[in-house]
Amino acid sequence: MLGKERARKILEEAISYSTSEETEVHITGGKHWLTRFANNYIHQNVVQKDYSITARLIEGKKVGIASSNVFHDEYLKDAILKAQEVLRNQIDDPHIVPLSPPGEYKEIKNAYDAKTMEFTPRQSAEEVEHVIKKCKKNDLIAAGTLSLGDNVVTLMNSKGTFVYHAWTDVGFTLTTINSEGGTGYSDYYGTGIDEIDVENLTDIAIKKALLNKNQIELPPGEYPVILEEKAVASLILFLSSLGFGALSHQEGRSFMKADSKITGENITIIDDAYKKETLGLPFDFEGVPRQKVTLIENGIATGLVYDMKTAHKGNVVSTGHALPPPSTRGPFPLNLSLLPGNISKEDIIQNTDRAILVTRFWYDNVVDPKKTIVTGLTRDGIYLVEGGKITTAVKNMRYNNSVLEALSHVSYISNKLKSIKKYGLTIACPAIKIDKFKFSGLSA
Amino acid sequence: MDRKLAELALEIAQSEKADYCDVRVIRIMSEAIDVKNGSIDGVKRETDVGMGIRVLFDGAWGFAGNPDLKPNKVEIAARRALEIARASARLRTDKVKLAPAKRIEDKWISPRVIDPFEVSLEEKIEFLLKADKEMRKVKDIKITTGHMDFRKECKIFLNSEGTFIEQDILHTGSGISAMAVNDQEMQVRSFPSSFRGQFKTEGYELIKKLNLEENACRIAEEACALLSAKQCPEGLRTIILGQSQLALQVHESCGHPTELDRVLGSEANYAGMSFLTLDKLNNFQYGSEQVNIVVDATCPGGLGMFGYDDEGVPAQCKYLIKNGILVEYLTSRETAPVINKLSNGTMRADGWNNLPLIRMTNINLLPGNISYEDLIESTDDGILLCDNRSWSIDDKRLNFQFGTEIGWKIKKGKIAGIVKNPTYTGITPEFWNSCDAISDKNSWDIWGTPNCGKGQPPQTARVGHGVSYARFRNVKVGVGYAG
Repeated sequence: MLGKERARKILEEAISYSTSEETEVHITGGKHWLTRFANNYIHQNVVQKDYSITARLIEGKKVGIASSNVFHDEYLKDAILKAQEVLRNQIDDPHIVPLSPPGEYKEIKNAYDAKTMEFTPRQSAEEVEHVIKKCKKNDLIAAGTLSLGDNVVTLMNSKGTFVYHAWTDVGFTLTTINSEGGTGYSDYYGTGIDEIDVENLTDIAIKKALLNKNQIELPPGEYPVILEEKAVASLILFLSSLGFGALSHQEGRSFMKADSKITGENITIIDDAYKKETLGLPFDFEGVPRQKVTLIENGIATGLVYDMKTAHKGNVVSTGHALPPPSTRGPFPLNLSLLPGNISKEDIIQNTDRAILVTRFWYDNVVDPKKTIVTGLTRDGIYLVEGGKITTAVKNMRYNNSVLEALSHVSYISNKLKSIKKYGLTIACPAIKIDKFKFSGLSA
Repeated sequence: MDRKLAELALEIAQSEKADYCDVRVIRIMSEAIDVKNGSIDGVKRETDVGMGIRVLFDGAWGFAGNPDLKPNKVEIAARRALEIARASARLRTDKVKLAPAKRIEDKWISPRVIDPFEVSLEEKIEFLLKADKEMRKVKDIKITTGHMDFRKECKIFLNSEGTFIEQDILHTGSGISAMAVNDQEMQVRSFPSSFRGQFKTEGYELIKKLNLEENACRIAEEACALLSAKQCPEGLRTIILGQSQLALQVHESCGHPTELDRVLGSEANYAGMSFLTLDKLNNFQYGSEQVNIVVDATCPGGLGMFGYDDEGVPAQCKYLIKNGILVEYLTSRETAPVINKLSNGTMRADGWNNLPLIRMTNINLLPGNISYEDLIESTDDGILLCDNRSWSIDDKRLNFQFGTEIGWKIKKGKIAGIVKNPTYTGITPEFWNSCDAISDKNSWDIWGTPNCGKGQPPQTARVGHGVSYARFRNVKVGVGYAG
């Protein structure tokens, strides 16, 4: 892994090659192992390693950006020269803002687990072997992944900013398939290999698949639903891209209306890179310390995330949410949580007279950005809950709902958060019960 | 130098008695230019270099990606790939056996007239800003964007069967969009298609043919008009899909379900499986007799065009669906023997750091025999749906829902105004069997999809879809906004 002192030397050397007024250089990368299995055997098994350096140079109102994954030895200078070449041929950017001065950030402890990177492909295969044996014993077919890796993001600029963060990540996903084609699912995302409770996760997926037989067909329409954590995360994720960033708000595209009620009072959503379920980078890709931002508090739109450019325009301070340059999508929250309630998931089910329990959604996509209408399908087990118990499996269905409207009809929020990783975001969600949720059609 | 390093990796794999090994060394150069509201939004150039080593040992696979093109690092990576393959072999059931492939020695360069990396950045930016200026002349337009993307991939492929291939593939893309916003909604129109525009395996000459500036004002006016247009009605309707929307319809509901690895369950945990189970080959009425679809990696301009796939199998053109019947799957050397065939050359990897998967090349809906004008004229009551805004399909590729930027009402054979927020939904074979007309070659073009996702770790493929216009009966529209 690229250590802090070696990173500092590379970045210092890179900046020394620049003749521009302002220079910012960052490196991202790491090594990742992924063992993939399907049909009860390992069919794909890979290790990937890559680091990339990106330079952003500013001269007057011109900016030049270039990236390269070749920056050892004499190639480091080339990477900077490429950015300079872009800058020379560039036209003025009237909205340019100067680079960030140094800011203090609190380091995130326990983000790197050295033991994880000692885990061998053989050990991964052994874990998978155990999963497959258990599934076979239940006449199920197993498909899934076991992954682990290390990551580095480090940035330096000519104003004296130097930031560095390294972390490990692990993931386990399991799909179980029964003889009728009904499926079950479980997953885990975290920091260290020892956190993965393979035994329990396999049991969850097995139980779901065994339950997912003799599916009944329910007519499309409005139903109460209990969404498990991963299904909730699918909906929350869209709010991040549709309106939590300041750029979408400044352009009039966001659903966020300052100090207005936009969801039910029991909904609070925050972005916090320091929260244990949503650990992230302690700084952003401009080197600005990342702040905790409350986006929706008790149903009221309270905050947005900013980078330097949108903060300058909004006459506020950056919250440290810049993406890598050129960052045309603007600032983005990457560590979202929907805050938990005070009832267990089991008790939500027990307190429910009739509802559809959803394991997860699939292929969700935005139908109407400003109204936050999203469509998608259920997957890997939906079940009818009647009289406080799961009674039968249900055929998959397509939904079309406004996320904000759905979050205005939440009657229960579970007391435990689960971390989910998707599209580069970490989202921690509880399970929730929504009293009105529209299903528009049947699916496979 | 690259060849020597690749040979070193091969030698190590062979010295350790690997059943098979292939090595790709890839050098990618890319440039992305974004303008917005009359100024630069971002310009970035990127270089990406590395080697991918795939080893089959004792009938099981291992793969290592390595960015360090130095002999000692190549050796470490090759041994890692072997170590991983040995671990995989613990859990194999049957040994992987590859369909035979010819030994090849060749060099292939994709056709181009003008190298975009030789065109000045200033010229490119100016070109986009001219179109941007035209869009901003329209009152009430809030956001305008323009994009250009160029990507040159130079790669060598070697395998332990003696094949050596060099390829140089150039992709070019560009497009513009205009957004009108009010308190309640936002409406976007794009040209020539949404999500960064049209992409082809061509050079800078593509940019000159796109006529961005000429269409800029029109799409801006359409975006504004959509704000006050009527909502697309709900119900069963006749629809005609415009080219770029039809391309995505083919992509999601014809391309993905015919990938044999999906059919066999390799993607069960992520992208999903397919309703096109093996028993359906040669006897499943996928669509109406009008529907003829080919997988064609040789199609000029197609974003999925190449000389050889990432297993060294030559580019080919095969029928997937002939007169509405499923007759072929997309295959690899590993999967083709399952249906007693040779690979049809669709194994492709996202750069050097990923292993090849079965991917679409160019999945083309062949043109019909009615002109576009006659297609409209012969439609009594329908909606022409153009340029994608939203897409979603289930994990077996049956239930889909799409939204488009604009709907053009057709009344008594004539375009009669616009509707906003159109959506439509259907079940794949029912939908394709309801296709009763496809317009002819005069309105046929190949459209690039540069962002096709699949695999774990996730990979992005660049694929093409040749289409014209097609008409479908009794399709459920308006569902996204129903209730």
